[in-house]
Amino acid sequence: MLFNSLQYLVFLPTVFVLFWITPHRFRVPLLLVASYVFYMSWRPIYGLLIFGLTLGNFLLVPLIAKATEQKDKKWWLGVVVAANLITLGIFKYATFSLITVKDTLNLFGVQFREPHLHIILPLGISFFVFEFIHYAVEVYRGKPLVKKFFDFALFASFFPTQIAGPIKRYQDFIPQLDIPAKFKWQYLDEGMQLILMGLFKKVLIADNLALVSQAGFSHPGNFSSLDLWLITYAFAFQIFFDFAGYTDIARGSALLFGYKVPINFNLPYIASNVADFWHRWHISLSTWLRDYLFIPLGGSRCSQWKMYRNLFITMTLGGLWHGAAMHFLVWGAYQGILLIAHREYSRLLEKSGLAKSLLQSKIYHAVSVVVTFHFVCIGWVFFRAENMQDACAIISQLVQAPAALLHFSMQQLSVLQIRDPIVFPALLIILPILMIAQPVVNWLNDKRFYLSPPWALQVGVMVALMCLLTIFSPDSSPRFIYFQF
Amino acid sequence: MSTERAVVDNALPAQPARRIKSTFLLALVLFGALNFYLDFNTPIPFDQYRFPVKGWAWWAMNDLRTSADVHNVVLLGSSLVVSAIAACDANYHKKGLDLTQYHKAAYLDHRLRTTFGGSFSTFNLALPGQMPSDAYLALRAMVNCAHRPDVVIYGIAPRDFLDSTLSSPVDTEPFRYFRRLVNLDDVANWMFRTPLAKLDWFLQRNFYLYGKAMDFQLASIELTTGLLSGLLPVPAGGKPFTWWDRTKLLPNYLPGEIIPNAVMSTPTTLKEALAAYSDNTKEYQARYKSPDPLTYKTQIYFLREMAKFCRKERIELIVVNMPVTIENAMILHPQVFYNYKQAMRAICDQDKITYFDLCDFDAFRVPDFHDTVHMNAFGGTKFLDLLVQALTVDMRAASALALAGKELDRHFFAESRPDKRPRLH
Repeated sequence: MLFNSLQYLVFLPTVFVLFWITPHRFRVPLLLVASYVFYMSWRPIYGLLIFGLTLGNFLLVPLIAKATEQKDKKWWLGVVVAANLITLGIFKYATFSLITVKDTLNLFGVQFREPHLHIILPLGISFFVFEFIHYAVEVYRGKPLVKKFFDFALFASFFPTQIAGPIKRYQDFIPQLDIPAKFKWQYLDEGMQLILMGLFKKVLIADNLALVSQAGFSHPGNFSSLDLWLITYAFAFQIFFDFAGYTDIARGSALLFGYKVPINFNLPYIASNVADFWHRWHISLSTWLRDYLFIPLGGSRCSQWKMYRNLFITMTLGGLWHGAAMHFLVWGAYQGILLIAHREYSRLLEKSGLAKSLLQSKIYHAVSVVVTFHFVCIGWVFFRAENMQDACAIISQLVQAPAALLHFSMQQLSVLQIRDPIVFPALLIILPILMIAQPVVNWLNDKRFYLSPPWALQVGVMVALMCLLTIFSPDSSPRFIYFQF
Repeated sequence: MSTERAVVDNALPAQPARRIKSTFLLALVLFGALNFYLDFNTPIPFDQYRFPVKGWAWWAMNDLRTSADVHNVVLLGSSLVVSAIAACDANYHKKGLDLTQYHKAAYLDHRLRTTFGGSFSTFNLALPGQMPSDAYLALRAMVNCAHRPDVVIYGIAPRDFLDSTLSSPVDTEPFRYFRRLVNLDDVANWMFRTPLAKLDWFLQRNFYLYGKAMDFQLASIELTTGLLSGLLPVPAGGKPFTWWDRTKLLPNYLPGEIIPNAVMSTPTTLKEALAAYSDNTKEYQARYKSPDPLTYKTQIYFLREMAKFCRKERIELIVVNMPVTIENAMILHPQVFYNYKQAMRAICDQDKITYFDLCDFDAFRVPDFHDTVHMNAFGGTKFLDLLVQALTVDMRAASALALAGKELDRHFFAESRPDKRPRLH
């Protein structure tokens, strides 16, 4: 069931009404049933998978808590983490692993024909497996167990966050289930505002930009280097609005039931360096990677070399988490290298004793934002390209852009030749607006404008969004990008 | 963690006492009121014939609408009919035919004229993928735009009733266009099978903005294109971007769209036709894989509705079971194929529809086909010859056609426009 479907338009209000008319003690079972209906509407058999994993984790994790010896605790933690990762591995990485083995053996002249596995990736598996691992590690670290099975099952399967996060923390989520909340109009208003805004981001911005990136990344040879920059920018905004839109709908849907789930984005494209970017992009994943991968590997409390190694491993595996393909692995490694380079650059700046006033100047900050955005965009090429060959071809074109700019003419822009779909030439207007919108929204955030906008403005914006979404909702909107992960 | 929690908590700030209970409910009421108002005070007169996807159905209706010709016979059916007529006519005219513009059946007209006398002007409203539900809508759309034919010849085949790749009548390309032209109220229960499809239909009927979404989209695209042409004109001297370029870059954008010269039917020799034969068994194995009894029932319902509509409009309906190869029929279980033929005959008898079964495996063999179901020029010619022969034998069909021929003749003379008479070949 997609958030931007008629099915969800029926499902969500139904569950919402049932939830608030149901006595508190039946609300968790109700949401649990709703979450399984939501999940099984796609492929009913995978309901067994999520149930099996939930039951397994619910039964095994207490063994970590019960173990008296540290060695036993570690052993049981290893069992739980391994069981979760093996499940993820079978569904997500088995085919990729076999192909990699085949390619490696072929390099040495050994012929190996990999079996065809016919595995369909269950939706959201990467997200709920990470939630289970988080739970196991936190219990290992001494945090309390979840006593009620229904609470635990709902934590894993809660339909607003089930398919593409945000990755929740059980300490934040479970206590909310016990509070016998009373209905507040504020839940409805804020929840629906988030849902409408999320749909706007997805349907009106991301889906239109998707046409550009689809054409550009599948046929890079048809475009000039300047076109490819525009296409890369388009993808940067497409993936942001697609995922941020999804997160808004997820948060809004949860809020309708009075539950809060963490934010995932905080204006990532105004980041002034790549570390800052990762504090603003997919926050629930980056904090998960920090807490359950980077820190267990040794974190930053070790030698510099080891810290860089940890950073590189964390980001590379983070890349692989996005998908079982070489270009995701390279994207992750690229992010790792950028983070290491950023640390080295910061150290160099500190050593060089450059004037603090210069580093804190607005001009330096603005240049840093632009440079960071472009480094991130180059990363998106690896992320979006269909394979490594295409990614390299696109990047080799992108680096030629300065030379193309020296003798710039409008004829270099193939996007201007395309009038159907009209979004191609419109990029020259849309992209600057989206870019300027980021600092403007940041400024409004600073002014705390969103905390108490005038009610007439809220109503006006909501009516406008309802009209726009009614008119421009396509018959078949593409799936959210992060569904595939 | 601490920053995250802070941000999450900020999502619901303590708000000052509210003047209104719920801004969302107010917005919802205003939105409903706006729709209600627009339902009665339409601000923009939209053209229902406009459609973003210029597919087979759009081109056929566009041709019909813009043509001043009177058509006394109309052909309905799927690609089996399109292929047979187009290939036959390309050879008959000895020139390539652009199927976005060409919706005639010149050879059939010639044969009808020489057999029944009078004048014949056939409009070929057969469309690839057309199922009985689409054929029914196409005929109603034709009558709606003041083109009532005297005779309908409808070519059917098992695929039209059993296609596993189409789960509902609303899945076809012709449906999406014809739903704009025809009021579906009386058949909505059969068209929209699932509760969600029914809800969607209800919303389209009752919410102005949702029902007119496509018109608003078209208007906004037009407006944006106009604005951008002024602001960012197409640079001179660049390589023009064609429809062909677009279909290569974005194969899934506007699926089903065709443009002039994109689909041509060219004259062929028998040798060329034999060499061009391609085996599409796999495609039909998928189509016949799991026939859905409800789809079958639904399509039978629309065949009968068409018969009812024809009776009401005093149109003579002739149903023809189209020839397919024995290889294709064998993909279905022999009993299924036999049952289908029997059922068609029984329904047509029951509803007093003239029915001809021209699926004769002895008369039509592989050299008559492009693939296992679509006839080539030679098969098409043979099919039309056999059809006219069958029509001659059937007294009711023969008299309907003779009358239709005379009527059109009379019309031309009454209009005193001999130039408008179809040329005799």
